[in-house]
Amino acid sequence: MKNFFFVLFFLFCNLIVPAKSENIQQIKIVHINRIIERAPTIYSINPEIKNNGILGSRMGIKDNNTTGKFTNQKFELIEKNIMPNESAKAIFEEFRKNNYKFFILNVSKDDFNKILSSDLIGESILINTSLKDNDLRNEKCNKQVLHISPSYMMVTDALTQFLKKKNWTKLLLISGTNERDKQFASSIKISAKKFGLKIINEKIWDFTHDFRRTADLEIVKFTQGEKYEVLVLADEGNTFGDSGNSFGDYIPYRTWKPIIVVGGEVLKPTSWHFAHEQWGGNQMQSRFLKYSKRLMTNIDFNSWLGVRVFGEAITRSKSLDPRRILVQIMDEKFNVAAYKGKPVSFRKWNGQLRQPILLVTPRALVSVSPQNGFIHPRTELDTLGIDEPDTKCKFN
Amino acid sequence: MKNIFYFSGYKLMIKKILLIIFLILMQKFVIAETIYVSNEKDHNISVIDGNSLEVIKTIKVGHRPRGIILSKDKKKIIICTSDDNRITVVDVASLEVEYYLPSGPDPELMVMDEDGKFIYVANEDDNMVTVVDYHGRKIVKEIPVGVEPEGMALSPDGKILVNTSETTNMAHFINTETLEIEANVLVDARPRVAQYTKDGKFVWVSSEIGGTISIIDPVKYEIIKKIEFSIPGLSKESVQPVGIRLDNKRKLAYIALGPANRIAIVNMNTFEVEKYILTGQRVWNLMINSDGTKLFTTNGVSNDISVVDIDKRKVIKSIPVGRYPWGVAIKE
Repeated sequence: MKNFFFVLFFLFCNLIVPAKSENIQQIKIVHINRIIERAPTIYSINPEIKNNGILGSRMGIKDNNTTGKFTNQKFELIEKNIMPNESAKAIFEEFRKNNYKFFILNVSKDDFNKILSSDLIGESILINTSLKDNDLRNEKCNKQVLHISPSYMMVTDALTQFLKKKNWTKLLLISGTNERDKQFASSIKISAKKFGLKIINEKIWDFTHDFRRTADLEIVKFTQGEKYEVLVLADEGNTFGDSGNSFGDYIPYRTWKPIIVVGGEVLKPTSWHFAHEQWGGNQMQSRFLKYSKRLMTNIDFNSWLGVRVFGEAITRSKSLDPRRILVQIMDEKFNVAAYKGKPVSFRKWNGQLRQPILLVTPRALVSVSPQNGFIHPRTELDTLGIDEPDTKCKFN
Repeated sequence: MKNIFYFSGYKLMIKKILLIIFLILMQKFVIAETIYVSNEKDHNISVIDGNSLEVIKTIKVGHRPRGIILSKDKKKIIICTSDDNRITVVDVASLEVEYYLPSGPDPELMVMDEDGKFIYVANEDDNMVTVVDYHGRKIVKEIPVGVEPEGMALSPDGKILVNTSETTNMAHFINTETLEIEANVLVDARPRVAQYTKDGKFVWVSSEIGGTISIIDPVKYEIIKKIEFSIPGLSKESVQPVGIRLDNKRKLAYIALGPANRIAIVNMNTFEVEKYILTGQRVWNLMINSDGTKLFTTNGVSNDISVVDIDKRKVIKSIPVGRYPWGVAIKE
């Protein structure tokens, strides 16, 4: 008898609960995060950043839900880590089979290419938060991919504009050997040409030994006899993300001449940094710190913005249809507040977010590009990165 | 004898002259306005004399002062000291900090009701609007709103409070009796300031990143008009409307356009921009003086206040103040 009442009560409860949430729209966003085996870093005091990106997405969901309270929408984040032995494509396809449509991706280039090769992409929308590769915005572009992460061309343009503004125009380029270093190096050559800077010489950094003890001697010789004003590092670090460089920290102060060093982590062009306080930035930093108990990285910011872009587009289009949402996002009037002093929006020719780029040292903000005086008929933000006439992207 | 008469006559004359000088001074003193400006980075407020248009005193008030208003009896200056998570109250007569009010975390902008009983505060970091009992010096209620609440406006009858939330991009209409949200209107990106027209028929809301002013019908909760700005030689992105002041006498609205370094004069009947006036850099908040002849603007990057002659439509003076001047209040 007791059991019977219990069952009745249980059924009764079941009747009430769904009735209450009937007209609330549920939106699920999947954050896929590649876990990598940590490469040996230069300094063991550099802590590994836990949940890099995921914490940004979580805050984006929280912000979307604050808005959702008033629009009857409920956002949910599905977090998925890809372990070193797992396939990103298989995981992505599993989500697609279950009809998930909105993805935030913090994965390697290889993962990304494999996901793009999937037959199950369908109408899903993928937001890239960490890859700067130019080809993903050019030949390998895809109309369902949005890039919040700036491209290599955007960051090298941002850095070169700053050097041009300072009138420091003779550069010595020291380039690392991994794929990302090479992309940065080839991008800065294009940027230098575009803004009238001169790369006097390029040297390849292919030393493999640990420089902790010998940097004083070796780097003096390495930089001796060159005629330049600025030393530019093409050092994009050990991992696919932006977490630390591999040789750049050895260079400053150890050069033959007293010289400015930029690039690497020394003066880094990036989408976000914890020292950025202008344009409401300090509100964002303190909200994130309070919520996440650590400082906000650029990948956190890119992920937060990705989730917010989904949220804004869904709220404004009042639709869950990915086709309509994508139209909304690519609309000329669609812009998002990103604490960077200018509205950010997407370039219709390659799905890249146009945005100001911060130039930062490890602890401070130095400048924000586009620099004053660099003008463009559409918007000054389009002086950074691949512009419409130069695009090799063809959406089909 | 003659000498004595002469002497007392002379004394009388001096007395008369002194009286006249005193009266003139008094008259000046009565007419004189005082302008108070909060300096966000300097943790103080600048006190400006309305006649000489010069800073006469600087008062330390606490960390990151932003929103600044006068109490309804004009006896106190009330300032949101954001990083101290409280409101600082300065006495107008002594120009000294008198006491503090609780505000909830990170207070930014506030509005006081006509009776001078309640202050409604936007808590930027906390997604709340806090209602503070001004005389009781305590928090009465916290109302959950959107992300990064900012703009605050009360309807002329005091029944509706409008709050804007910068990241949620909404204007929330709050019933001041029930303290519940009655409606939400989606506006363009990053709404900053809200102002009711004097007849209570419209609410003007500025969208800093959207670059527009939305004019909302507060009965139907609909946007009836969007004003856009276009300044020759300036990119669209650098036009970022923030401060709004409505000049009901002239039927003109003054809009501060942030990094465009200009204010726009908008005709309130036609919604057309009549003129752009160059001010200091990053112009944010505005206040019209008591006789409606001057407009004061806070310029956060050039660290000064522009004084605009409203009839002549031009800046007549720039007053250097502290770093990042943010809000402005005026006492007759």
